[in-house]
Amino acid sequence: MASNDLLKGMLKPIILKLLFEKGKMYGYEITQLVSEISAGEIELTFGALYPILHKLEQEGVVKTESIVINNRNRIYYSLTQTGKGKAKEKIAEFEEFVQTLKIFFKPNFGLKISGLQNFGGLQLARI
Amino acid sequence: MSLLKINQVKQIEADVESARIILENLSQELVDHICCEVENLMDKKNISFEEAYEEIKAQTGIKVLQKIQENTLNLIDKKYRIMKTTMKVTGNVSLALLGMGTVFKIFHWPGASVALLLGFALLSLFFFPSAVYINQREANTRKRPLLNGSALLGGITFMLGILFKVMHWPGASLLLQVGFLTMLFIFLPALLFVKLKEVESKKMKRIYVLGAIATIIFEMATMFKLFHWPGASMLMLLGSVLLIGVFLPMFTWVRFKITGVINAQFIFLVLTCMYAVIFTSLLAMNVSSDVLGGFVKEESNSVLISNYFQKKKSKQLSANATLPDSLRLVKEKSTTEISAQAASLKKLIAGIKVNLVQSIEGVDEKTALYYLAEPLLIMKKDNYDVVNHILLGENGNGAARELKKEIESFREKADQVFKNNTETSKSIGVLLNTSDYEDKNAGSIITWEEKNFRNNMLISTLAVLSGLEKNVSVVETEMIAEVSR
Repeated sequence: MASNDLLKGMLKPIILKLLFEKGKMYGYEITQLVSEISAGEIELTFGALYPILHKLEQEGVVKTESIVINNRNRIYYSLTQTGKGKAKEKIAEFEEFVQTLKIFFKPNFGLKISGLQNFGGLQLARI
Repeated sequence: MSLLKINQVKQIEADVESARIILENLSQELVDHICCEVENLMDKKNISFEEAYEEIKAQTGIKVLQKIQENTLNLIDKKYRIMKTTMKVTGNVSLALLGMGTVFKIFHWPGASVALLLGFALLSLFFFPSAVYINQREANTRKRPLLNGSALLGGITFMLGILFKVMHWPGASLLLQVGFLTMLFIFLPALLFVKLKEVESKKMKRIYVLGAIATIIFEMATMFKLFHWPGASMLMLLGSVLLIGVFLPMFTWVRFKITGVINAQFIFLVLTCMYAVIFTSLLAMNVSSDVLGGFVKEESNSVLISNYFQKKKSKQLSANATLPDSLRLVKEKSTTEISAQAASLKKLIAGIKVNLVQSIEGVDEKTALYYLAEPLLIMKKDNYDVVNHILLGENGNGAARELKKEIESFREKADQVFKNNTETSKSIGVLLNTSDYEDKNAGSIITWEEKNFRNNMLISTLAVLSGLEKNVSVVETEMIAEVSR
């Protein structure tokens, strides 16, 4: 399972992507779907989810609507017009970031020449 | 798929409500979320609602829900975030400053006042308001302007009052009185009212009323003691007995019956109560009255010695009266002069004493004279505001300046009389000393007026003045004896 340190900063793009795909979701549904898609690797707790949703709402990225279901209010989240553009932007940015990140964890940083001397000691230390 | 029944949803709603979630959307979401979790678990394990909710509750306790709200508020509310940081930072800093200031003060190290001043200012002007704001945001669903307003006003004025008292600034009494009265008659009743609305059982309601009355009586006793109003001891006794002997046992018993457990917070509360009672009793009742009593004794002693020398002087004068005319007339001229000057100086001192007692106790001249004869009757023995005002005034134009001038001219007269007797002259210099005082610790020079009268309590100021009267009588008698020789 992914640790909390790794998850920080990734939850927002994940939530945006889910809303972008599914259109309208409520909190519990989001946590379940994240768990399902990641095969249990990513656990989005409700303690982490709701503060982010409220923040997104305040920023005008998502809007809410309340529907009475099974004797209780259920609050659905969906992207606003501006939110859709923002979500696209975020998702693209995140994909790029993941690609870059991948390079770092390939053996020899994915380079064909063997040996580290080509990088120079100083630059390596900085990485 | 299981669906929760309406009463089961209501049960979850009630539990979420007890976490006091003020963001409406959030509390609805949390209810829905917990309901979904419970339904899911019921299906998965094929268990009853009670069993499933018991399991989910372990992960969604009040503390967890409150933490979610705190995190949400932190993210979406800039003011909340700023206030919370202010509260944490200033709370810690002011506590450290106050602790350090107190230690420095005890050891007479320099910088104590600065630390205390900063600590109190931070505490009352930054920490306290932000704490009240945070408490209101987190705990209350409705705004309670009376409760929060009175807590804010009462708390700030009270803390500033203590600061002013410690720093000997004028106006301390007024601030303390406003603080006390706001706390006693607005904040505590408002708090009681809110508490009474919250609790259901009649027994608990009665106990809260009792607790509020006990606290009010106890606080009133502290206030009475602080301002030396009569009846403080009776109130203190009544308040402590009600608080410790009646309210606490009853409260503990009922709480224990309801919850079945006693938590650490509660033990802390009981201990704090005990400490409050012990400290106020010890400090307010015994120590200060002993110190003040000491000055009262000093004051009466001075008067006794003065009277003794007055008698001695009269004897000498009547002895002079039997001398032959030629000699008697010469001596009488000198003795009358000396007596007149001493009398005018003593009259000046006596006038200051009466003025002090009249202004501080708010009584007429006759009563003031009676109080001076019986100093134990004086109520505000520890007032120093008025002492500063009358004796030092603004820019040193108070009565002490004229007093110093008169003492100096009397000493000059004495020096003339004893110009051939250096030993006596030296002793007189000590008795009527008005030179500046050098504070070796601080490395500064303090004038005689400042040294004797700045922030000096009424009763010890009276002792200083009576001491002067006594010294004048001693010197006068010695001078008369010298010229009569």
